[in-house]
Order: sequence, then structure tokens, then C-alpha cells
Amino acid sequence: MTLLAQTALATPLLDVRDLVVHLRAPGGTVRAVDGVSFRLAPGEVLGLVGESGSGKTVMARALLGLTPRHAIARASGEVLFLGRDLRALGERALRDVRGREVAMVFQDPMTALNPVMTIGAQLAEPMRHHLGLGRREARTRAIELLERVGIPSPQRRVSDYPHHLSGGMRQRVVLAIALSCGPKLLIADEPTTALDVTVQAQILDLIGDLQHEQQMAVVLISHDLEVVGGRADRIAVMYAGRIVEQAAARAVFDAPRMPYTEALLRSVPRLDQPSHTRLEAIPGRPPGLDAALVGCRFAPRCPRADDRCRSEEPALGADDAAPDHLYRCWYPV
Amino acid sequence: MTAVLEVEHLVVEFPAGRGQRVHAVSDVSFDVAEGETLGLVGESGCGKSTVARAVLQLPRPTSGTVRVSGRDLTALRGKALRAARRDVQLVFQDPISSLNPRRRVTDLVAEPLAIAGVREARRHRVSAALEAVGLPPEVADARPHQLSGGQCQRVSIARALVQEPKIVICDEPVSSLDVSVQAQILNLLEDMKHRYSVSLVFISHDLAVVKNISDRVAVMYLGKLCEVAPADDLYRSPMHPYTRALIASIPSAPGPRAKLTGELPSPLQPPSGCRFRTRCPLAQARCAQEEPVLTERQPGHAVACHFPVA
Repeated sequence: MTLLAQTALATPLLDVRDLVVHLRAPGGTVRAVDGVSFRLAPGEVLGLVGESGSGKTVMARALLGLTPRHAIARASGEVLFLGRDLRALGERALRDVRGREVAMVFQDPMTALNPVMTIGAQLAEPMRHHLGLGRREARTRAIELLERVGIPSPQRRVSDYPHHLSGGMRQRVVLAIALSCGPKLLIADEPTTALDVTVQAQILDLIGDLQHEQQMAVVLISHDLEVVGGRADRIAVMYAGRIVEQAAARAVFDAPRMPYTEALLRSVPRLDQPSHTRLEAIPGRPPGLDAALVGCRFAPRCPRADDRCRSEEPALGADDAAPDHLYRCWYPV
Repeated sequence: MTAVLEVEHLVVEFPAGRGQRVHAVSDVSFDVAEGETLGLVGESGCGKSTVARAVLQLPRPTSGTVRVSGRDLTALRGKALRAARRDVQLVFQDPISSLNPRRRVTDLVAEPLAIAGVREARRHRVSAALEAVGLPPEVADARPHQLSGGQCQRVSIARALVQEPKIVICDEPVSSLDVSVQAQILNLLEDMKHRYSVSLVFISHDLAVVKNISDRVAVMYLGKLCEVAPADDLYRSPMHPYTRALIASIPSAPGPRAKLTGELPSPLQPPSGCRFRTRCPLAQARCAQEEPVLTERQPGHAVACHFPVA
């Protein structure tokens, strides 16, 4: 690690410590996020990967205090943003952080926008609120932002309503809104899942360019390792409410230590394989999170598992030779 | 090899009010050989699902013919059509909403047999189908909400296969499943194809998935086929600029990204000439005037482009 990166990690932008979010559900409690810790340096891109139900979205929302209060059965841990615990802030103080210092982009661009407000008005709202811009100034900025995210004829588009735009264009607008106040951190939760492959590449490139330009840190969440692969500095893999592996992006692809990550990489069809290549499917499915789990959570599906795995859960640790490559396994690959 | 499914000059148009028409599928022709898997790829809105439905006459196509084992479905009506449809089965994208939530798994799988009037060995055929798709016997009495998405998709596949069709059309069958479950279902489809000796039409927007399962792949853009080729060929040497752009936009694709700008034009007023010309990096004046025809440029490799990439 370079000296610069070391100092960056010493004063992280975001430091999540042992975050727990258990949700109320009809049959009891769902342990959606069960003790997650990670750090993010300024300007760093962290890819957060996991299957549906692994807790990535609940975690992302909990960072900004967006989990509805009545849905929480238990929550603990710290979310330190520039040293300040966001979980300890009141709603009013949180509102000053959301959209200004930390912005979020959601999966579905169709429902993220208000259907009865013009996109110009929706873009102006955070800038007027957080930055105190006047009406005219905010509109000018809105047009600039639309132009920056690649919307053709922004002067005209600024008065359009969301239904006038395609899915890809709406996601660009959502990005423009997220970036309007120059946040230090962008949380992008499956920003391209609802979009077509060609548009997906456009949006991911745009996020990459903007991240670079504004030196903004990004948490890029996806169920698709490949999507996150080329764009993240580091990758964290989530499984059943926990981070099971965390390392530099290349290391996760080239030399995963956690059997789950390895199995996930192998189960995806690849373009460089001839057609009809037999896929190495992972048997079974992720465990239910409504009861306390004993042992390693991947053990029931893991080819390497033995009695120790089934009775004792490994901690997220690393080898001395590679202290930055964290994994949660007794018998790493 | 004999063709099980022959689609010729298929056109599907929908009225869109004010005298306008949505040109969903425009003059699409392809065939599927016995035991073959044909992949159909394209972005959303390109008409791939409409093709699948038009094959089943749901709704009837505006024009064109659909022959299954030589019999033209477009010429059939009523009872004869319903009987002929049994040879073509559909598996949909969302496995949970495509199953009746109030019915048990055995009844869901037995229903097509009951409708077809099969009495003989019905139970046996149902349990054999459930076993073939890898569902444990205790699932037979469960209802869809008690199953996972992957299990529901297995039920849908069992239901399609129980009638021993000639063709199964899978419309994005793994798109709503998790990556780790997706591989299970793809392997299952591959096994079932051999076990029940059916042909598959596999529709997906995911090129890597399509390549894995298909013998041949057809690429669709705005209601038209732009390239048809053997799977490995298509990915090794794509000839249509659109196919190249599609492959390049896959995150894991090697090499520089030949990015596609803009979005799909409206199917209400498709561009003149080549429908891809508005986004094509190679487009010239001729592309706007003259529509390229799907032509075989190499054995088995057809492309509809005036300036195909060599």
C-alpha cells in the first residue's frame, strides 16, 4: 500500500463499525445486517456485492438512517462519517447530511423521481435547500448539471416531467440530483440493474467520470460481480448479513480466499468459454435469516465445510502476508 | 436436420391511437432445428417477447407464418389451434407470478394434462416431471409462496415439459433469479433438453447467458433481426455493428469499449432504411435509403448490414 493510501485509511471518510440492523417481519425478526464493519477512504470506490437478501440494500439505507423506524427490531453499531456518528444524529441534523455530504442513487429510476414535478424543479430543490441558491441560479445550475450527465438539449429537458424520459435518461437525472450539492460520498444501490446492457455501460462510465472529477467516494452496490469488478478499488462480498470477503478488486477476482466468492465467480457464464460449457452451480440457497445461525453461514453450501465450520463461525481476518485481504473462512482457498 | 419451428416474415403491429402503429416485430424469419437451442438477444423493447407470443398466436401476428413440425399455426382456429399449441410451451421470466398462488405444485403441473384430457398415468407423469427438474417429493403439496424463486422456476419448467412438447420457449427464465441459482436453472434446462429431446428458444438480454446455452444466436434490434450465427462464431467474430456494441458493453468483455451512444428509437416511427443507423458508428447515406436484408455472408452466419465488419 502506498503511503498516501495508508494515511487515507488512517482518517477514513466513512468508518462503519459493527453495524447491526434487525428488521421486524411477520414471522419474527430478520437479521438483515448482522455485524458489518468497513472503512472507506476519501475518493475511494468500494464495490459491495451480494445476492438478493444478503443485506446490502438494508445496510446502505441504514447508513443514511433511511430504515423506517417501525421496521427496526434491533439496531446498533456506529456509522462514522468524517468522525461523526450518523446513527447518533437526530432527523433534522441527518437531513443536512443527506443529499449534501452523502447522496444516494437507487435501483429503480422510475420511482425515484416525483412524477408531478418537472425535473428542473427536482434538481433545484436540494440546491436551494442545502446551498441556499435562488430560483434563477438553481435553474441555471440545473441546466449545467443535465448537460454534464449527458442529457441532450438540457434547456428544453429542464421543463420536462419524468414520464417524458426513458429509463436511462431518468437515471442520469437521478445522478444529476445526487451530485448537485457536491457530495463527498455517493451510495449507488444497483444503479443500473433496471437498465439495458448498452445503457448500463453508459451510466457506469458516467459514475466513474464524475467520481474522478469530483474526487468523490462511491459505494457501488450490485448483485453482479462483473459490474462492480472493473470499477471498484476494493470489493466487499456480503453473504447472509455479513461481509465474508474484502480485498482489492483484482485480488477478489484473481485470488479469492472465501469459497463463496470463488463459487460465485465460477457459477457465472463467461463470454470466453465456448457455448454449452457446464456451469458450476452452487447447490442450495442462502440461509433464512429469521433465526440465529451457528457456524459459518456458507457451510451448508460449501464443498470444504467440516464439523468445525458447522459449529464455530470464523472471524473476518487476514493472513500476515496480505493484511488487506480479509476473509471469513477456516479453510480458505 | 429438420426444422421443428419455421417462422417466416413474421410481422406484429399494435394500434397506438391517433392512427399510429407500434411496429413491434417487422418481417422476422428464422427456424429452429430438432434438438437445437436458438438464443434470441436484444435490449428491452426490441420485440423479442412479442416474437415468442406471436409464435403461440398470443395474439395472432399481423402477417407471416409460423409452422410447427410443418403445420401452420396461423391457419388454425379454435380446438385445432389449442391442440397444436401443446407442442410449444412457454416458461416466463417471473416464476412466482406465473404460477397460480392458490394451487398446489402437483395440481399446477397436472393442469395442462387435465386440459389436454390425458387421464392415463397422469400422476405418474407429474411425479416423474417433478423429479426430473430436481424438486424433492415433499414440495408436491406446497403452494408457490412456500417456495423460492428458483424452485418456482423448476415448477414452471416441469409444467412445460410434462406435455412432452417439441419446443419450449423460455422468455428471460433466469433474469429474476440470483446468480448462484441462475447456474442451477441453466444446467437444468440443458439437461431437460436432452432428456425430453425438445428444442429451445431462449430469450434473454444477457449475452453471456445466451452464449452459454445456445447453439445459434439471433440478435434483434427494434423489431428486426440483425445477425444470426452459431453461438461461438457470433461472439468470436460479430459482423453487425450493433452486435459488436452489445458485446462490448458487457462488463467482463475484453478490449476497449466501443460504446453505443443514444437510446432505442421509437417503434412508432422506426428510422428509414437500416433501423440501427441512428446509433451506428459506421452509418452512411445508403443506410438511410436502403434497408439491408439478412444475407448469409459466411456458412451459417447471416447479417443484415450494408457495411458488415469483416
